Amino acid sequence: EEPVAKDAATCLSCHDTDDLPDMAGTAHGVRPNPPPMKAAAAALASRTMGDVRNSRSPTCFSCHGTSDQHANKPDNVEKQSKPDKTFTKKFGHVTTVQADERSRVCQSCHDGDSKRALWVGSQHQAANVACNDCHQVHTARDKVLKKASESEVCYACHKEQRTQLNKLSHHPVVEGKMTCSDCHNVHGSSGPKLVKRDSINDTCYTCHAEKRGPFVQQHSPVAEDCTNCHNSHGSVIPGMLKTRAPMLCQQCHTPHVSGAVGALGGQSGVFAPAAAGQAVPQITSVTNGKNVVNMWQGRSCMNCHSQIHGSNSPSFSNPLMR
Amino acid sequence: QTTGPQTTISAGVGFVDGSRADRGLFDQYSGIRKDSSTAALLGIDYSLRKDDPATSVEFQGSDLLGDSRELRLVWKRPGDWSLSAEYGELVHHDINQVNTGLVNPGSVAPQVSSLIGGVGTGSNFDLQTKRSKFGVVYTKTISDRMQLAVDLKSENKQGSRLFGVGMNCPTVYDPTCLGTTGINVGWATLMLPEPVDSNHSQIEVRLSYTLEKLRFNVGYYGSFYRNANSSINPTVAGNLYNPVGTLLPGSLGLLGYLNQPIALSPDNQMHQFDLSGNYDFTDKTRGLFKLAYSTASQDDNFVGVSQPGTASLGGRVNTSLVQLGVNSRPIPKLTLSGDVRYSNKDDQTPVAIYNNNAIGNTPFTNQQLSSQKTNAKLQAHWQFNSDYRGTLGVDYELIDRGTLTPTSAVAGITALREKTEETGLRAELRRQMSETFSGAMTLSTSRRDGSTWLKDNSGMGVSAVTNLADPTLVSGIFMPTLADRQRDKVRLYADWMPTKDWSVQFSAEEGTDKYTTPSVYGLRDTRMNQFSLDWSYAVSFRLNLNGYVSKGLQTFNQARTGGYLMSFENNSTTVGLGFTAKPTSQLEMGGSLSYVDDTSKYAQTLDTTADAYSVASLAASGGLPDIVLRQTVLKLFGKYALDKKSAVRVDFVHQKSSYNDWAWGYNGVPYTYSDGTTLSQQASQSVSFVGITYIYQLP
Repeated sequence: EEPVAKDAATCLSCHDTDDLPDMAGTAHGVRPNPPPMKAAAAALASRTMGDVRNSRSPTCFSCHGTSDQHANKPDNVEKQSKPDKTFTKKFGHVTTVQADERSRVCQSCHDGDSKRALWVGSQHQAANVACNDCHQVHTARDKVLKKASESEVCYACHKEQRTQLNKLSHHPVVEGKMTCSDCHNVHGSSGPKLVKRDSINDTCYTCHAEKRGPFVQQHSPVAEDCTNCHNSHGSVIPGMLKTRAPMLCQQCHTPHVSGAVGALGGQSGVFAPAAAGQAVPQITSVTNGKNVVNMWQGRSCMNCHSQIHGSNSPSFSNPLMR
Repeated sequence: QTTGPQTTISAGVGFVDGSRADRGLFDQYSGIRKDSSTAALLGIDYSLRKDDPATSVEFQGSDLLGDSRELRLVWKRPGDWSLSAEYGELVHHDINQVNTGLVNPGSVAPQVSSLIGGVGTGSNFDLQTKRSKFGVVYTKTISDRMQLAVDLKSENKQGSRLFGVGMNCPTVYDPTCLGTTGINVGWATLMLPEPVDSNHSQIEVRLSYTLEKLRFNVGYYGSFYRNANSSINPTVAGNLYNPVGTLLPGSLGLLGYLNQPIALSPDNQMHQFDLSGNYDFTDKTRGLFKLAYSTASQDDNFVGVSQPGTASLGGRVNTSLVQLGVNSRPIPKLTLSGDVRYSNKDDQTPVAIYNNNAIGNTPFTNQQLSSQKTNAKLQAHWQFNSDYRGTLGVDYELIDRGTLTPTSAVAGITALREKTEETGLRAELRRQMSETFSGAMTLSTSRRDGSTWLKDNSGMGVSAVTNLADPTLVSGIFMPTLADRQRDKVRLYADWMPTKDWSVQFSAEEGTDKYTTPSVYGLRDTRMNQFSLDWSYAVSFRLNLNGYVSKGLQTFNQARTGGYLMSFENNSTTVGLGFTAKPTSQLEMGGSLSYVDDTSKYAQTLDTTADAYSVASLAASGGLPDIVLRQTVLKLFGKYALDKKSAVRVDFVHQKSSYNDWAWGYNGVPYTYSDGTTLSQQASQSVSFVGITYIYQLP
């Protein structure tokens, strides 16, 4: 005789495969072809969900409680009561169970996972986010577990990041080649902003290890925090820079350029002949390399200071980050 | 019982129109080869499931014939073990088109060959990098209490990316370098694509253990970066263009500089051991902890010049981390949490002089960048009733950068600080106004200040700033990352479900940063705001609509010595519309339309110290033009089931963009390197993609 998870069978007598068509494909139930309603209860015996041979296997009761009133509606009650614990935010079924309590249901099984060790006190926990605010349990296609659709779930709250990721210079999240959890551990982390590793830089180094150094010519803001200069969610400026060079560089460095104002090659007076009102054009045959065109166009300051993240060329003149 | 295997194959072909110039923005991460207008589409989805014991095998492959193929295998017995393997490629195309006379561009030995025919007469060269990553993850539930996880990754990165070198001959130290007007040139900028050929391997092993009250895990993480290219060695021998486009020989001194090898990213490695977990003091109080120690090193050999007897930097940075936290719910309405985190980054790299053959320069040493960082957080949540929840929080951060290395070079920096300290306050109120309407408001403010500013001492270290009236300080620039800062932010959020079919979200945030420094120069203030409205509507069980509008603003104001104030303003509007539909049992459809309008303004105004030349120059040029990106993207798909086993899917993408970044050209005048190399973007780009795929489920 096949072992049957009786409690789950109770639930499946109503919530069959028509009601939860995707359930079997989840991590809580692996059967790909849902059995017909009559066979559902028996089939539970060999499913992870309700598998009585697997002590770690949950059943419907594990999350929702025994829900006696819900399963056995008294005749004198007009409306069937909710299960003991509900999780969804669907209209008409808004849960009154607090976020922490909902999360605790999931944690009762998933607490030992190292990725969730620092959940309590994390930004998401403190912001009253529960596991099921992001995860869908009763579907095989939980959006937050798919690289191409995960970010849509995050955008539900993080609108600014959605805007930034749609900017010209961005990590390939919109293209589905990267996703938020490539950099963030949303379940709690020791790093700031829930980054996966212990610091922002250490997280960036997981893909950009060439920036780790240390170098013979260091650049202290680079070594301290990549986000001093970069907006990792996207920017209108190439290289995901927060600000376009030379303004970015001039927020720390005294500028060395002839001519105080910014101008471009192609603008009046930049090249000979001088524009009306100007004594001389800004760029002449004797103008040195620190001119407004080289400072504002091309790679700007990086036209010369090529290795701005740190150089391993011992300089025999001034340290130039070259 | 065994189910499957089930195998679905999808095969098809895609067509892209538009020239290479049209596809500059579209191809950034498209995975479609730039030299091809067709793309073969092939994907596979395989699954096999056994019920006793419950195991499953899943294998997915996508874009198998393209440049960004992905393969993924997951084999597991849930609750017992799982093995997953992943291979993925990612190509990133630079959005610019390169025209150059370089010989061997993208190699470690490029030869500069000036375009004697003028700008645009060279060859096109594609800047692109390709990442190829392979990873394996194995997890095993050893017992009810113990779990093992092993994560291995190895990624190769190849290609070439935008890079270059420039030299402005020093007037004092090397007069022979200077060019003579009309005879030779004394400065140059060259575009030399960085040759990329590296491997990054990472390993993480973690053992988790669970007791009744204690859960902890110990782990090792290792990172190993290896670069096959240690340096780029350009050959610059011929003529170069002077500032007004005359081809002249480079001065010998200049060519000497330009022909120096440039070190590329050196090999490095890092090892980390950590212990983290949590402990239940009571059923209402849980403690958290993390201890970590890492050591990173870099001892790759120098190229070119080095100090005699110093073959490599011998870099070593050790980092220790301790974090302790506690979360408690002493009474049902009150939750308290707090944690303290201390990290010590100890730069043990030997300090040495690296310019002993300098030409009259002061000695230059490398710089150690040690720092100690302390963060503390305390927050309290009060559940007034089932509808109201309030939060108060205090955040604290202290960064101590230690004593600056006496001979470290800080040229070009007005002053530094060894310590900065920031304290922040947060308050939040959440309310469930009805079963269908909830909202939240958050206010936060923080104040940062720091220790005495330390002034650059002519490349010989720093000395304390005692006289703020010092003219060099009054006109100096003080780093915004170290400056006193007042940061304020407010955020509103609302979630409304007016009917079972409608869902509406609204969010708004506004933030400002204000900086205070001994001078009026540098970054003064920044501002951001963002308003978003999202909605979804289920027209019927066959049709869902959704959309959003976001509008954002970013500004900053900064000033520099010499007479100008710069005001940057970025306005961005993003609109999205989408739908999913299943008009018949056989037909499935979906699509999205997005529009981005992004304008960056660079407004310059002159201050009272501006000279007459700057006044005339700004009047003549009219200032820096706006940079505007407008982009519309339409994506549609339709999938029609021919029978139970097969379907046809059609994808259509149309992207129309206009973009006018003046970094690479303005008013028909391209930014031109000294050898005539140019990068350019087509201002208006339009591209369409059509893909037709046949999907078949094998018997």
